[in-house]
Amino acid sequence: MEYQYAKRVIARGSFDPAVMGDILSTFLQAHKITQDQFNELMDMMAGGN
Amino acid sequence: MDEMEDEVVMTEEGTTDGQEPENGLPDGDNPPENGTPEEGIPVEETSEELPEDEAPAGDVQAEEAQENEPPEYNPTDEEIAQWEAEREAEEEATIAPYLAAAAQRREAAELVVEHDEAILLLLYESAQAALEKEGG
Repeated sequence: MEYQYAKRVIARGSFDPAVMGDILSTFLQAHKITQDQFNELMDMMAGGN
Repeated sequence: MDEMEDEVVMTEEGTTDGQEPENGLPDGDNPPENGTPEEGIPVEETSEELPEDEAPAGDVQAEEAQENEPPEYNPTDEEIAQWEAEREAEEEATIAPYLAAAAQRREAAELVVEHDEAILLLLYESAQAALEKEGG
């Protein structure tokens, strides 16, 4: 669920990248998302797909 | 029968035996047998014979087109302004439902974004609480 919502918010671009980076790190540490999902979402924020 | 022949002889003085010429004209008025004009009368040779008073076909069609065209109408500025206002009112009335629907969709999309961000923040706080619980 965390991955899906994070992906939707990142895809719209309506987010503060610094805040979103902190959120994703927290999800990763709490094992709410996998390392691959974390990398994918970070790539999306950097401008990739 | 003899009386009729006598009448012919009396009335047709120009004929010798009482018989009329084939065309009923005196001999001097007969056209030449081959159809050519008599000698001494000049004849103009033209490739195409058009009557002088008949205009070419193109001019006739143009004149007919001009006759079929409605008379020129110059609307006044007030009429033009009125037409323009009517046209804009009709256009707005036609577009209004679509504009309203578009605005509604835009508001709904903004609402969804707000919901997603709020849920994400809730999930973030939940994850933070879980980490603190693990660490604590």
